[in-house]
Amino acid sequence: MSCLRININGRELCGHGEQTILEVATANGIHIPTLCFSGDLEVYASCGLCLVEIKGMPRLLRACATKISDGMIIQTENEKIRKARKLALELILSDHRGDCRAPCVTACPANCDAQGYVGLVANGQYREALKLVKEFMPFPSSIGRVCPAPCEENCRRNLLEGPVSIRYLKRLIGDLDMASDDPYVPEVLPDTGKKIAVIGSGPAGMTAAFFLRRKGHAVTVFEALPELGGMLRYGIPEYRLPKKVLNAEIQQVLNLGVEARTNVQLGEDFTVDYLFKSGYDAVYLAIGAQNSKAMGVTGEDLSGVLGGAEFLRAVMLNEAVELGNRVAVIGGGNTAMDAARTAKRLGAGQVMVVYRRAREQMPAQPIEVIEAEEEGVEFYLLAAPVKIEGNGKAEKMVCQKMQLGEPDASGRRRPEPIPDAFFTIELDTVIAAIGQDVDVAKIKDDVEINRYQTIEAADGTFLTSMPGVFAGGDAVTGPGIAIEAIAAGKRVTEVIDNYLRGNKLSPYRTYFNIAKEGLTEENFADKVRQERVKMPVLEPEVRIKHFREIEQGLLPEEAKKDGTRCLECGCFDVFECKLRDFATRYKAKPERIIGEKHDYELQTHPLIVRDANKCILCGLCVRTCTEIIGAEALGLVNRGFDAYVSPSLDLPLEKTTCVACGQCVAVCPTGALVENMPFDKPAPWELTRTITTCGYCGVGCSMQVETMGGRIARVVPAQGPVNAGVLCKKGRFGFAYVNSEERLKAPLIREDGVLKETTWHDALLYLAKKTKSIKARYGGESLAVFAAPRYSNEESYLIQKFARAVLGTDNLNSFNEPTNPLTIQIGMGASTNSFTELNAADFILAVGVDFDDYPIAALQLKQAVEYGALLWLIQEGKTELGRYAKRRLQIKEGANTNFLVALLMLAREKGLLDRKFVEKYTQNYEELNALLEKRSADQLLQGSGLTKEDLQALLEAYSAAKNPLLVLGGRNLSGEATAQLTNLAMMLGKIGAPRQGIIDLRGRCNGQGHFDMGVSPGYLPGYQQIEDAKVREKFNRAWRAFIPAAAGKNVEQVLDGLEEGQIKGVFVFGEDPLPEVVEKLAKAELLVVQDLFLTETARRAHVVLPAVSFAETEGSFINSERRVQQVNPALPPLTGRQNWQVLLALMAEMGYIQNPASPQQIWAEMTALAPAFFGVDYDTLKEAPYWPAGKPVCQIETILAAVGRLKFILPSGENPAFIERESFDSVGKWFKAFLWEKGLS
Amino acid sequence: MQEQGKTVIKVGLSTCGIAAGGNKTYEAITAAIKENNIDLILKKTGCIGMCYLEPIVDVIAPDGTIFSYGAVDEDKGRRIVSEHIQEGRPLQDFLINEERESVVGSQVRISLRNCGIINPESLDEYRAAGGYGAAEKALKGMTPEQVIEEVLRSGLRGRGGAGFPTGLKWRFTRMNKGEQKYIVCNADEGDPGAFMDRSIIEGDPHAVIEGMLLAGYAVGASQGYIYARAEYPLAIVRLEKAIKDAHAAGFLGENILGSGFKYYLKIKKGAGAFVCGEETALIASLEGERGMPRLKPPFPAEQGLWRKPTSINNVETFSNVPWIILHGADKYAAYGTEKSKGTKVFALAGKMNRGGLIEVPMGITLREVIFGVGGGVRNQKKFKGVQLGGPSGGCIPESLLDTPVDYDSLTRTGAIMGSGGMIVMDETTCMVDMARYFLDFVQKESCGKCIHCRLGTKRMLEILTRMTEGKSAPEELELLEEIAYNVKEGALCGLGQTAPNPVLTTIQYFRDEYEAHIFDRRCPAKSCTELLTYTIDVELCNGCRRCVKRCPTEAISGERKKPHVIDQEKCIKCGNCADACRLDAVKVD
Repeated sequence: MSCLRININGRELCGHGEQTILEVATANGIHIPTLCFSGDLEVYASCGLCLVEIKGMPRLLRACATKISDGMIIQTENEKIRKARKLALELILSDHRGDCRAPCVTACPANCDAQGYVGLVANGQYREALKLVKEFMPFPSSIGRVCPAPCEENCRRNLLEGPVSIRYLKRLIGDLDMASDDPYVPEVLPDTGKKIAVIGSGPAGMTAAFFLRRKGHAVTVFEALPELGGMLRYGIPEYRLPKKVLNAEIQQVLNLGVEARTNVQLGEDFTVDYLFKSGYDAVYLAIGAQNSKAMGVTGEDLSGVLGGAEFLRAVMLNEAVELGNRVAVIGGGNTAMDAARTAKRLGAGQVMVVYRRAREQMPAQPIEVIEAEEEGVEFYLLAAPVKIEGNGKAEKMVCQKMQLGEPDASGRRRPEPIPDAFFTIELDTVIAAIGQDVDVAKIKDDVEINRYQTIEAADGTFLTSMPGVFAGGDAVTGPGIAIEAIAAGKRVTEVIDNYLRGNKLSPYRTYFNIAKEGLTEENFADKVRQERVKMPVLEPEVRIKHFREIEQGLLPEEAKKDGTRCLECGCFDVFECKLRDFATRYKAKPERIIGEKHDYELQTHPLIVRDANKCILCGLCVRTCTEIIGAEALGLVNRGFDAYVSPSLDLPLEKTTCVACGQCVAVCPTGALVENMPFDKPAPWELTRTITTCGYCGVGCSMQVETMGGRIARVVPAQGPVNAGVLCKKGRFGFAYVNSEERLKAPLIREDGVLKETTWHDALLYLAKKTKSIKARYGGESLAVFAAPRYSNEESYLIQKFARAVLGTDNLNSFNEPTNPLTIQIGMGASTNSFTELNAADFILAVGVDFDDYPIAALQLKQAVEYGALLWLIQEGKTELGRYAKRRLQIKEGANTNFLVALLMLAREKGLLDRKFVEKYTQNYEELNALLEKRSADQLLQGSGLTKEDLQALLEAYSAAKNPLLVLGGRNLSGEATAQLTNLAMMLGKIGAPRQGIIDLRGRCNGQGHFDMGVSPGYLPGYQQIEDAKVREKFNRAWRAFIPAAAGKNVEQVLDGLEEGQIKGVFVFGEDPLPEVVEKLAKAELLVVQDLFLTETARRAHVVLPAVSFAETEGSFINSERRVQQVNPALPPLTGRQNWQVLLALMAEMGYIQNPASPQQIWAEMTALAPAFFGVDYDTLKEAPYWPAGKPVCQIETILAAVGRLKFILPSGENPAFIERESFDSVGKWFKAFLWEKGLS
Repeated sequence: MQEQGKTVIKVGLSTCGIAAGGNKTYEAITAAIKENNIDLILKKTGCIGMCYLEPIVDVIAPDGTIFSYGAVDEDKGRRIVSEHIQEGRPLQDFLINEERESVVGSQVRISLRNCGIINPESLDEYRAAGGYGAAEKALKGMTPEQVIEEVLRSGLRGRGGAGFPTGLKWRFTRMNKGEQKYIVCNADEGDPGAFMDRSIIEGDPHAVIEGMLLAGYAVGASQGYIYARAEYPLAIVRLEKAIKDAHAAGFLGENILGSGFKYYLKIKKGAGAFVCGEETALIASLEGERGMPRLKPPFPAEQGLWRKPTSINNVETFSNVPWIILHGADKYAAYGTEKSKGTKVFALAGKMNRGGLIEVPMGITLREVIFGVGGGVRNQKKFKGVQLGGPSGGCIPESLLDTPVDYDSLTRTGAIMGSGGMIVMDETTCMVDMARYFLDFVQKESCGKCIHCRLGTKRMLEILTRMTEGKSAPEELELLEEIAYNVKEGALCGLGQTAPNPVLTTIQYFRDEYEAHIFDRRCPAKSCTELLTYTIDVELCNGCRRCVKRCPTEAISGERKKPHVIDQEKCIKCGNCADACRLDAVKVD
């Protein structure tokens, strides 16, 4: 296609005529915002965000829908476009109801993720909670003690019985961490070589030091006083914040490599200039506001008049403070309360607080006032000192009585003097605690000071008048609460880090936020009422005698319970919401557009939560459900402003044709559709993401597993080679078993008939001894191994190696995947063709392919039909696929394979036999022919539900096709049926070429690799026959072992052997067969089971070893089209060991020591021994290569090389064609139960 | 077709006639004729356009003299039979011949050529009037290209509103590849106050069918669909009958007129969604999907119905085509202006003296239409503005009344030609409220797909509502304009893109009225009740208590024979007192 030249934002680009502006821009890394576009769907053009300007066009046009033309000149961002997008966003947001972040989070000056850690505490994930808090501040224990907790003030639970005890919870998780053996140490990035001086070690300074250090910068903190901590140390009394706690938290910061210099005073001992000269790249001034404000009354200079901050500091420094018996504290804030209560503890008989307004206006936290009162502090309210008198020393204070007038700028009612109303207080000491000032004298020569006598620092960047010097905390804002200083310390980190990396100075990020308004108790009518936990405190008469901490702290279980009171306000999509992202970017102000907002009820499906209040009607869910999935479960209802998305007929989603694939959630750009997360208390967390391969069927979809604190929170589709961003319900929602409390965590040994937990060491030792003894007594052939096809290639390889090289048996089977006839027919039990070829096929015969079993493969069939293939189905039951089929041949339930024999007969009769192909490439045809000659088609078709005409029509379509593919639903099809269908392909010569052959679907995630790795009797890895001496020789040499020379027993033979006493020991890796089979297995002298759960089989075992799930596994799976795909661990192994490590340890315990020590090395060993895998190296697995030789198609030459000649298998006839294949493993069984429990089966 | 020597009585039985009681009149006349055994021909006809005078009964004497009667009820109907027919005394007082002459005579009726003249349910009458002559001419003597060329030369532009050259559309459809092509007739007329298409179908259904047939022949389509709104039951019935008759007569079906051309027509009833008048939404609806617009391009001429090349035109456009083919492009192009050829049908509504349907040549001025054909403003009120093109159109003030009626001149005013709805407003109409009314309509009819239309029109409506209630903030006028411009640019389809037009044009021409609402909390037209105060002038009130009796909220008090007072707290501004007062003592401000 010829190139059309276009210019976007000044860049000359090339595209072709069918491309839209959006496509060309995206391909060239130019971002154009859109909320409704998806490359997989038809253009919808509803959101109007992708508007761009094209030179010569008066109107803005939609980039998603405008095709390029030669010479087009396009602007994607300018003032006009930004304004248009901003308004579009504001319109969307004007009817968007929700909370981006929970009110507790937005209320926190540091935006600390309270909902996040409260949720984690509620789940019992204390350490995860701590880690989360440490992303916002270094001092959870300290702040959890002293914070006035704006989060709690804004907690929605206030509408019910009172807020969640957020502060107590924060304190607890900090305390637990400090008390633990290995307190959390956050990651520190590699050194950047940049140095930063932080002046002041209060919350603002230490927080900046903490986060700057974590970014890899060298940080030195300079502190004028002897110890670090600033106001946390010198302003807050011990009884509120024990210094032991503060010390420990400061030490954790220092442990990261932060340096500290104490007793060095800026302006006296060093200057800012000096810092730059000595190599610092940036300076952060966090010097606080340390000096008490003067009261401005006469007599203030008398001795016995102190400042509040100075008084508290002196006490902390253990300086002698002469108080006398009567102390008056002036002021109504927390410092005043701290001073009064400290004075009381120091022994003052009468402590009086004098405050000019009424109690309601006191800025101190109410609890402080209450506790002060309990401790005997007296309050003189509506009283203002006017004069302090005394003879060289304060002796009395004259106060004027006040009354409240109109509200002032702060919103509080202004105190006004009552004329001529005075009273006098006798006293010894006056402590003025009416506020603090910044000690500007030390810095005024360096940086600009503003009229409020604080450091002038730019909004957002914290930059002072001096380049490279930043400032924050009280020194900039005037006295505030600790968390405000922490917020400044955290935010400046982002700015300084950017600055040091040489980027343009930019303000710290703030995000767009919306909040629900007008909520009342009624909105939470369905919530269970639960009283807030009570913090145990020391009694006043006890606490007043000393400085010991008053609040005693919560127990973990109390905290957990209180955490469950969280109402889950925040939006679960907050970190991914495109709408929020764009609203932030375009600075949307929806508040300027007022009007009606919808208020829809939340719709909860067992797996999906729909919140129409957040829906923007982009239609992605509806379109995906219709166009991609074909389920058509969602639609649009109503017109205009009242249009909304709803399941068909407004039914609950689970009552519609919904297939619970969750694709609607995946495509939703906002939080209107989210997963129902399997946590007691889910919260919007930033999750850790791992791309891996699904652990269910053999289609091999790629998925992103997202975890939080050792648990899977959700799974979303990834752009894999097979599934291109789509998953089915199994992959997407069937993961909760990984998190299950019932998982086995330690090995079990049967003692006195009872399974008891033991250590790995003891279990393996016992196992090795028992096994060796059996082998010694009865020989290797008395042992049998069963392995589930969900084990990775590396695990499967080790299992067969264990069986053959260590146990000396070839009795290697699976209850889930019986041996595949293709192994005999084409020399490998695998598909000859790949999924991608389906789109080029003109005819597809799908036999026993059930939509529910292989939804993603079914979608590929649907797509192939859209590309023009004729789809024929042979089915026993119903399937959704029927909708796309050209014709469906319905087989009567329980019919045997005779109808397939009839098919072969008719093919022969109609002269469809490809003689050349058969003669040249196959063997056994004569026998088959002889057999077919004797049969009658009519007879064979009896009871099948099919007619001769059906089959003739099928044969006509099949033989006429140029590119025919057979797709076999391996899981539902008997081996006999597979064999006869393969015979048919061979007779017609339609196998062994591109788009001509068989795709045999595997029911289990590694059903293919399982065979490929040699877990079947007689076949070593890569389908090498054990009976071939040369092959054996190769393995014996490589393995330093003597492997059996003959093929082992199959499943039935092993079970018979158990009955008859020839089989003495059985190893079952991850399988759980029918009860009658388990009965037989239990007859063994030794039954060993490895599994995730204590299955029925495991209950009967002598030794049980815990296994890990796919989510903890490192290695690879092979899908139904022979693609080798990586499996990456999203979680550490719950049992502490990967399955392959267990196998290696077991073999070592048996005396077999070997080299491989990683999945990579196991793979390398396997590929070196199996020619089929030559060249498929572990480091190429990222690209999901095919074996053999990386080719998606097995050409006839490849097959011949493997098998010599293709073999016809003679029909035995009487076996059923379709089988109801039970799941014989715990994962499959779990999923079935899961669906049932959720009401979705 | 008139049988020789017989008197003919025609009763106007389009929807307007029926709504005015035409059926009863018809029955009364039928009964009277039967009773008296009179030998004459009684028939139904369509709307002549003077809807304000329906039911209209025409008596056509054997010599061809026409006596037109207006507003004929049952009694008058019987009197026409007894006095006029039997006694030969026409009812002079009810004759409307003069008015008919002045209204109809001043028009050029091409599209409406048969409406109100022939019996719409009679194929014979249509043929007698020259019907299917064009089809014969084209199918027997013209190539499809020649048909397209003729239509192109005639200058006919789409009468649905946008004014795209019809011939060009056909040519594109013909040129685009595709074995199957379609003709779609858009009969989903939905503008408030517009009824051109309905009247044409009701009055002359075969004209539409013949037009579609010619279109099908021209573009190479064998199938046509008529998307008609289900609220037009009579139109649908007449269409169904006409299709059946045309089929029976060989004008539809296989091998039409022996030309080898085959053509079928189907009617699809639309469920009355205004947006389905938008062509892509109409196509979606035809396909059985939710009626939501799709983005253009691709245009229907490339990928229309079921992705096949489709020419979609409206009723009026089709009805012009047979005339053009029969009389030649030049004759048609002789009417109108350089860029807007031919005639246009308008539905006159609102505060007009003569509401109804007219057809005039393009290029005459609005003033001529409104004050000439339309007879000016009702009740001697002052003309204030005229809304053209329904909710998608704009409002034109008095100062622009001399604007010629053609596509381009109208577009320059900020209004559009639209489908031909003309709503005249007088001094008592509040322009803010008028804009609010149209937005309310579009908002309810928006399909909800694109955010500009779904939310933009909603927010505009809310702002306008606040204005009419005196609750708007000063900055909201600017916000209203900002949203309006953005909706115009950002909306997906014509419905949304034109929805702000009434607002923008009224702001442009009547800004002072908006400002009065916002800043003075005052409605100059005294129409927005929330903004009115009713007071009683003590000088004029004589205490008659008339108003007290009429007040539904007991807001008026006062002793008999002494001036009364209105309690503003209780007053709900219903206006009853002002109506009741005979002394004009109730003041409204």
